[in-house]
Amino acid sequence: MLRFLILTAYVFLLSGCSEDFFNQTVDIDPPEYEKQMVTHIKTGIHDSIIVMSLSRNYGVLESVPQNGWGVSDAHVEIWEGDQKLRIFSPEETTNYLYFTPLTPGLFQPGHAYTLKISHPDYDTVTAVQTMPYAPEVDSVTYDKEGGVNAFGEDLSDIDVYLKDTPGEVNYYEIAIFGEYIYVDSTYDDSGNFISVDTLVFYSSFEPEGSDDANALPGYNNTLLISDQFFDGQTYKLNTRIYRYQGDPTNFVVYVRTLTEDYFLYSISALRKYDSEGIPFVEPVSVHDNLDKGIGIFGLYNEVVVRVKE
Amino acid sequence: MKTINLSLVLLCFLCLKSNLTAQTTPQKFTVSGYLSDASSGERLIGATVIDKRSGQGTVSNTFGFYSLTLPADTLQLFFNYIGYQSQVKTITMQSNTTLNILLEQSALIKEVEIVADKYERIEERAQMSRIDVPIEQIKRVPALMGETDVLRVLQLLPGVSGGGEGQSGIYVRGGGPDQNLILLDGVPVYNASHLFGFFSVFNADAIKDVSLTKGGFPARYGGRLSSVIEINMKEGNENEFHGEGSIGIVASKLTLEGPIQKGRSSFLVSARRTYIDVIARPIIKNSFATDGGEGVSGYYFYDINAKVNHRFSDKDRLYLSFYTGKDKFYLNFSESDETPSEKYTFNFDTGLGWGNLTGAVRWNHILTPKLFANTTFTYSRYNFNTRNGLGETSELPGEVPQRSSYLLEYFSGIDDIGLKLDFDYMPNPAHLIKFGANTIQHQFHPGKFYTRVVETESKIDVSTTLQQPDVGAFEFATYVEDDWKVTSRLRLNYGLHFSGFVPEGKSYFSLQPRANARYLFNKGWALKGAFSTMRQYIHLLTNETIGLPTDLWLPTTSTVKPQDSWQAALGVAKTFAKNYEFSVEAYYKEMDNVIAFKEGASVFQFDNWQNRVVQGEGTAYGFEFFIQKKKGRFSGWVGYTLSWAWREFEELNFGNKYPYKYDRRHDFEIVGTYDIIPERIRVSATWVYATGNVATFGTSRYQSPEPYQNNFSYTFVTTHTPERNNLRYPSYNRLDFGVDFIKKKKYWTRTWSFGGYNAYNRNNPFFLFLQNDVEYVDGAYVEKSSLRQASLFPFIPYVAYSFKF
Repeated sequence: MLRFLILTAYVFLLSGCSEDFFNQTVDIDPPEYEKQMVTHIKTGIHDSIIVMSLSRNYGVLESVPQNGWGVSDAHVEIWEGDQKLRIFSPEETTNYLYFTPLTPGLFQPGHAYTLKISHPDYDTVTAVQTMPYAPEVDSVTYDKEGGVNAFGEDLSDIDVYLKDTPGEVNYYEIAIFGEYIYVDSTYDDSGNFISVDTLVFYSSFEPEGSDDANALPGYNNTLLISDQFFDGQTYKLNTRIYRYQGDPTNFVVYVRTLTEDYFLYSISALRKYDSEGIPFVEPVSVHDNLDKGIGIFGLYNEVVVRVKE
Repeated sequence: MKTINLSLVLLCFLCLKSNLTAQTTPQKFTVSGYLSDASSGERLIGATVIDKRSGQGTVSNTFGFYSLTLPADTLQLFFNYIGYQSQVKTITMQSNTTLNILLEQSALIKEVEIVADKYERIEERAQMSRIDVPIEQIKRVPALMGETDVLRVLQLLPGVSGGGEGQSGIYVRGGGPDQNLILLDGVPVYNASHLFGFFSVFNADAIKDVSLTKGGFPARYGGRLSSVIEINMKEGNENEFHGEGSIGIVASKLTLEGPIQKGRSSFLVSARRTYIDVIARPIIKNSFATDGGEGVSGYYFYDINAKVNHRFSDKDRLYLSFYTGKDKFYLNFSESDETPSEKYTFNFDTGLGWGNLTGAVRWNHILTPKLFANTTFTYSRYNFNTRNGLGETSELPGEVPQRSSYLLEYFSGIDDIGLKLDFDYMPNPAHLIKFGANTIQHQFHPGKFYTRVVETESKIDVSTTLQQPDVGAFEFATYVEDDWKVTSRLRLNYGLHFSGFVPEGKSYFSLQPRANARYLFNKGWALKGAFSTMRQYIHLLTNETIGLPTDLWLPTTSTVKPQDSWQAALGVAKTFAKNYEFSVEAYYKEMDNVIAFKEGASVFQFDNWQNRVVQGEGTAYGFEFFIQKKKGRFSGWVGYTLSWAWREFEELNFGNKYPYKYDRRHDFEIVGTYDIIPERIRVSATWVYATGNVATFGTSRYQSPEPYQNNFSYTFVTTHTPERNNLRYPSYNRLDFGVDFIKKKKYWTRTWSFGGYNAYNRNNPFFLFLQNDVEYVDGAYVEKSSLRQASLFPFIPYVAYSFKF
């Protein structure tokens, strides 16, 4: 009896050592999903055109056909109350972009606008946003000698002073562009070689020197701020940027008030992008505000301030 | 201060109430003493002492002390403890009497009745939601790779789940892994896992007693929201020298115990170590040599438990206990390349290490026959370190060798020094009053980086230390509780726990009422109810998937608030046919300020931890069914839990409530052991079934503009995750079995143990992943994706040899 049991145990031990035995993966069914349209629109009150992307989603295991993401034959409109403001046109060179011109005064602060996207294969997508009021920028200061960072690099310092409206939740985005004249050479219509002065904007500087934990990185190296810690007060946002040799000394500061949806989407979409493919990172849910769809319809108002040394 | 006064007022009230009772009854005297094992001198915890004439009784405390105050009369005292021959002593009480009792182990029943009546019957106790697990039973449960694991057995109890496959983590009633207070001889143990969570740090051979409290917390407990796991080490045989040990697949262990001064003092030393690194070392070295270099790699863990105790007098006893354990992974590699013009050497050195160290000095003193005092000084330390280094040396003929090297080291940890005073006051058989106070000075080390770069050619030798500042915090608590037998049917355990925490620049205080009640109906049915509030001042930043040693304990601060909870429970309990303990409990628990990582944060970030966490609410509720057979050749239990566990954070999941990662609707377990031939052959088996855990998984994919670009020209494909923890893993079930062959030799007893984990080789889920393959179909490559479930442990057999003398 004992020998039999020992022999059995020995067989078990050996069986546990075969290579196939440790190939412990099996297929399981993915979670169900709903076929929906996906759109992204972020529009400022002073923009001259509204551009929107429109695509479709696929199941995590589904193969995507060649050029299969875009939805090119949808009907897209923007409404204010019961008044249709604009109909979007598909952009011809892609199968996922739509646009419509935006005339000054079409969007008004405090007014609500509804996006409607209809397509025979999908549920109609709607979203509502209210255009924010313009930010009240008290002043913007620029100091070329803004100190040094942890690595000993020289920094310039730009401080933005905002007056926040009390009693309401406000969201801000701040972008800083440097401008300088870039001298380029080209040919004129007659074929003559000429020099051209071109106004070039540095794409926004990374404001890595911001001391404010409330300021979060946003799209395109902007800063996103909510007024939860300074409601109704004058708020100073200190940003510091790298100072390169030959850097511009003129800067354009864009200060925007965002809708809450735009703010939440921006933060979450960046987190999602930054965490893609990294193990042990907490999952990120991207904020959206579309009914029956995925994505964002966001609006912002804007004040532009130019500063120089 | 108002709250402190409340505790004092309650204590005065309890004392006054018991004294008033005494003044209205005839003169009383106290019989008190210790209950011990006659052969080893080991104190017997929870043994019952009953005066058969009056029916009044008590139980011995954690140190084997009992005290019974009764009217002057002739008493017929009955001393009972499972596995021991009962004793009856008849005494005439004319003054306070000290009566130390030595109970003889009963050879006839020792092996077959392993736990009967060792503890108070379940319907006798006022406290609910507490399970005592005899170490003898823990040792009989089949174990992963034959390595007996205390925490893994606790996972088999209702209300407790174990996290992921193979993990020894504990999740109690919807609580998190940081919400368990694990005490080894009264000292908190911060990281209770070895081998990335697959084994716990507790060596069963050195343990005497294990209990789990998951609700209805008496006032003496505090500091964690969800459970208290008390593990007491053996004291050591004070009469004879004995030992036991085992040789297994994973580790071997040896325990020795004996008298230092016979009858007065004893010692116990126990050690365990894995040895796969030692066995595999030649193979690994050969492997490196085959690749043209030299190197070694390995992993091991070890534990050492030691305890000494000495009885100075009938009233004073001192215990010194010590534990240290460590895990270490290392990899060293070097290779050389020599040509006539240059000798080049490259070396690489990396390692991980983590471990606990605890120490306790406990002094028992009998102040009066009714008042027992225990003073404990504790020290607990957990640290983690990692090291990565690489270097190059170039030697040219006739020149000074040039060396460049890079070293990165990281350290984190926590140190605690504590002092506790606990008093047991037994004014009469109706009351057992416990009161005391404790303080802990925490020192948190959130993380320190050290880097050093050396380049001899350019004469660079730069070292940098980046350190998040250490944080100190002072924690204290005071409590008073009364276990009151109001009538023969109604029994209460109620009290107050007051705690405070003083981190830098901030103070927190909390008054926590606790109450348990039992009403005994006819035919032995007990109706029990409990309410308790708890507060927790320290938090664990952890990855919940596997037991990584990077887990970081951190304090409440001015921005990170303490966690609070309240829990209510209601249930019935009864012992059937003397052998079957049955209980059903329903519970509801709410937790505030539970901690979680922000979306997109990781345990591997090393920025300010306070910026990576959010705090929210948790809710858990459910039913637990438990039936346990403690006596006879067959013993074991059946447990079932129906539960829900939720989390809600303003900043997670769009502010919506979502199921907690270890939310399990059903959890079912059967544990059984059977003596085929008593003292010769024993079989055991466990079967568990659990609803799968939940995970967050994208339900679909879509194209999104790249966030760092300001137009739609750049896109990337991402997943749409409509809600957190939206995917339920497949259910988990597993059968383990074991058989022990025991043979008594002339001077010792040996046991061969065989068994297996996951007997029917079920692919239980460990994690899910998307697998993308490309297939060539009809002349074109087609991408094919599949959702796959990875499992960890197939059927794993074990064999172990153990001995005892």
